[in-house]
Amino acid sequence: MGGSASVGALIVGTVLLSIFANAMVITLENRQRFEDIDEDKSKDVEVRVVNATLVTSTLFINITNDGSDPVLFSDIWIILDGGNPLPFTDYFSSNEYLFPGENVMGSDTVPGTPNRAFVSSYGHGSGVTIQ
Amino acid sequence: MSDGGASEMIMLVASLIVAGVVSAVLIQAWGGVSYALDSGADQIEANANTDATLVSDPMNINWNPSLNQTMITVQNTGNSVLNITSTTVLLNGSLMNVTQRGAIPSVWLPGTIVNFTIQAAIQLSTNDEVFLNVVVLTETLSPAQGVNSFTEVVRIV
Repeated sequence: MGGSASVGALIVGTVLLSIFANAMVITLENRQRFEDIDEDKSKDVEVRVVNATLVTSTLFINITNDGSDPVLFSDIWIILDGGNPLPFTDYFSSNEYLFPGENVMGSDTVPGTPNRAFVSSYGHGSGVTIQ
Repeated sequence: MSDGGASEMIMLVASLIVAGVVSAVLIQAWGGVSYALDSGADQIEANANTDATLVSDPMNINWNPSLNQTMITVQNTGNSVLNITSTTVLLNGSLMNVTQRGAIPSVWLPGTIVNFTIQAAIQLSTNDEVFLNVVVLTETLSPAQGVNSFTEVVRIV
């Protein structure tokens, strides 16, 4: 009688230990996953248009990056008067990245006389009236 | 002696059966808890990797009153590939018909933009300032489909 109860308790105890061990593994795995998510923050990119000037049919746009991460010029979009976004690489092609604090002047020929230039990148937008 | 042996054997078998049933119940219960923990973590991870933002100038949303449509551009600012055709847009609280302008890109990779035409039988006037809600979903369904939404106030011109 006592031996039978011991065998039963041994089986149940082993199962409980296995479950506890499994719970610890899952908890540690999830903790690591959430730490990875926390470390993988979105880019801190704050591209701002400093000024925009139209000279005859050439638009000069001066932009800067107020964020702490560099951003590809191809990921910076220029919108004139609510039109189609065009990559800043159409205006500037000397380098690939706009670094934090860097100030860059780009230029391109534009049709008509747009009044407003808007720059957008990674959720941060900035607009100015074209001089 | 033999009666005692048989009795011991019956008790042992009964004990094994009870232990087996209890173990099965415990393992099944833990299986459910474990699945819930894993799927919850999968969903949080998928959502954390899903992000999109408006590229269009929110001050200049050109509304075509004769076609009841406008165009917006959305950038994939997350780490996951987004499903272009699953994008949902609400303008001023109205569900819009969303179609991609052009065939490029066919795959909405992180960092890239997609131009959409959004259309619905709604009345909007110049200088109306309305809410634009955009919901995006990831291409991947497994282990979880990521979802993200953003809201911007836009001015109709």
